[in-house]
Amino acid sequence: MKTRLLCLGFFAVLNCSNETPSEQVIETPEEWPIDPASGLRVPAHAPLPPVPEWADNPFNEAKRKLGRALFFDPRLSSSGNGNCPACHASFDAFQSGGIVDIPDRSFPNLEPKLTRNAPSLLNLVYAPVFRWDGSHGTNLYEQMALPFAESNMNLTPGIPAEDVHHVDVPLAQVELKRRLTEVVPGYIEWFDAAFDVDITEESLEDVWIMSGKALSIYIRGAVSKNSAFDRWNAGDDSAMSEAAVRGLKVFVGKGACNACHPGPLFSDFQFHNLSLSLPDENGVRPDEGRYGVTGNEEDRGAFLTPMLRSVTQTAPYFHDGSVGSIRRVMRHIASDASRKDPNYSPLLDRVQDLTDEEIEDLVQFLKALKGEELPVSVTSFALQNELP
Amino acid sequence: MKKFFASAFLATAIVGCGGEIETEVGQPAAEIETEKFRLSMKTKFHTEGELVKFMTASASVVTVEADFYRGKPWVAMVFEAGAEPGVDLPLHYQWGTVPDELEFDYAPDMDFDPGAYDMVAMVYAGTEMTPEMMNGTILDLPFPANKDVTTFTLDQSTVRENDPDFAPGMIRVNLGMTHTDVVCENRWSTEQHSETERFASFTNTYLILP
Repeated sequence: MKTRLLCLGFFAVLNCSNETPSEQVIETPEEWPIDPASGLRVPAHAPLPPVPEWADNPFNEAKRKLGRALFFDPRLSSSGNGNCPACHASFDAFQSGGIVDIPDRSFPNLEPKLTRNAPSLLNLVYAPVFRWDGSHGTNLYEQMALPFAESNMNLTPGIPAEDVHHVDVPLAQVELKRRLTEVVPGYIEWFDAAFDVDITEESLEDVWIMSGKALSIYIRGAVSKNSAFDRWNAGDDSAMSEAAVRGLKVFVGKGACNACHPGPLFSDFQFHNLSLSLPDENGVRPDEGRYGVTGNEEDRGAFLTPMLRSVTQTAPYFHDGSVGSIRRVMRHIASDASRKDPNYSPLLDRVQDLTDEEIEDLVQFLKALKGEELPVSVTSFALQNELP
Repeated sequence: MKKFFASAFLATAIVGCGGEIETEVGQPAAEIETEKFRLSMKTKFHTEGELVKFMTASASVVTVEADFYRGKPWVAMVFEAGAEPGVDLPLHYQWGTVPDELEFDYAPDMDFDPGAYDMVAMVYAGTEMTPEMMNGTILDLPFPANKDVTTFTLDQSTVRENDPDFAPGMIRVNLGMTHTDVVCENRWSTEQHSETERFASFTNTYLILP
């Protein structure tokens, strides 16, 4: 049994096989004994490790309070109405629940919209790469500050609403510092408490990064963990239904889901083409995905594998939010529709046809990945008396 | 009750265009009959002249011609408390058409045991709904978008101790020993920096989706 589980773990990280479904045999266990070494039934999907500690950004409560304020404060958007929860609602698994969202640059109109679905921020603190196409680097602090320079928060005066993708970091750095020191000067004291600095004397870049650091500290609380699956994985038979256990077998077996969704976070953090942005007669896709970052042909139409913890709370799905039902997601992946793009991921060849019953079982397993409730201190709206 | 629905989950068949979700699992013979009650959701879209206003999730107010919603399909559902729309089957659902007066009632033709339930309603105004979509499985409905509107509340005071939280879009209804109505209206406020105003405009309301 242990050998089988190790093999499954091997499949999980070996994601460039050319095997065809007929060549591969994925055995799924009839039973799930505890692996003595790890104390888990499925060591490949171990519980989340503790939230990472950052030597260059140690936790303190003042930083968390500051990050929370920066996350919720609409005064840090161009219109005075936008804030991070507009697309990453803390009460809604840190995503918006919409297909695509309206950036602050469009306020007060509904158009133009953003063109990709706002992914959940749950477990982002563990992620080695961000965004559907992996753009804008791998530095979490920069990622957390970047929306101020995008149409999302729009601290970029003068950029017209129709230019929805225009990003100007230097311009936004000026405006962010102005807002933090002049528009809402109460932030000066809050930064002092968090970082022991006077931001009026700090450079634009340093204020920018400190803002990203504080936001990063806040979203350390946005963690989906201690799911029913984790309890079952540690030996609690009653934590998952029989259907969910059957779903797990499909997940690591016929469905080959763990080929792209391995590990504690259920993502390989790679980019795959699932035929969601098909090329037209000229070979041009509506969204070229990762190709726009790397310029590599094999990245055309490829998007980042999302993490799956709490996935049933984060509909709609895929980079464009085009699929609202998690069952449809699985039907797409398990059908020829996912292999229409000439550049489709070869990993899809591992996925076998799934019956409706198997898809239902998979849904029950994915429901079992829902994390424990987040504390109110993380999810609640910032009240006025919690802002500077 | 929870175990009953959980075990029945996989053996479901959806009944036509609305109605109770039938199961192949029967009531245990020894179960004692308890009194059941009705619950309903009343919707009213207030207008200003021939215009109707809705809040977006980002707290802007969007004005739309009222005619945009007239004659469009609505769907409303009742779930076991804590269910996730689009993932879990509703206990009951119903389709209807928004009338000219922009008021409609969702009144399930079944009664419910006392307890907590979650209700949701959506109007597909911008998303074109084909008969195939409306007659298909309720779990495969398109995600609301393009000025569709859906119920929403920030008011979590309705979640009683030991009851599960409700998913966004759901309205928690605690059915006591009496019939219960919940009212959802399009609420809006331009005073979003007032905490009170902001909360009120996001309570038992309809949000517009981009």
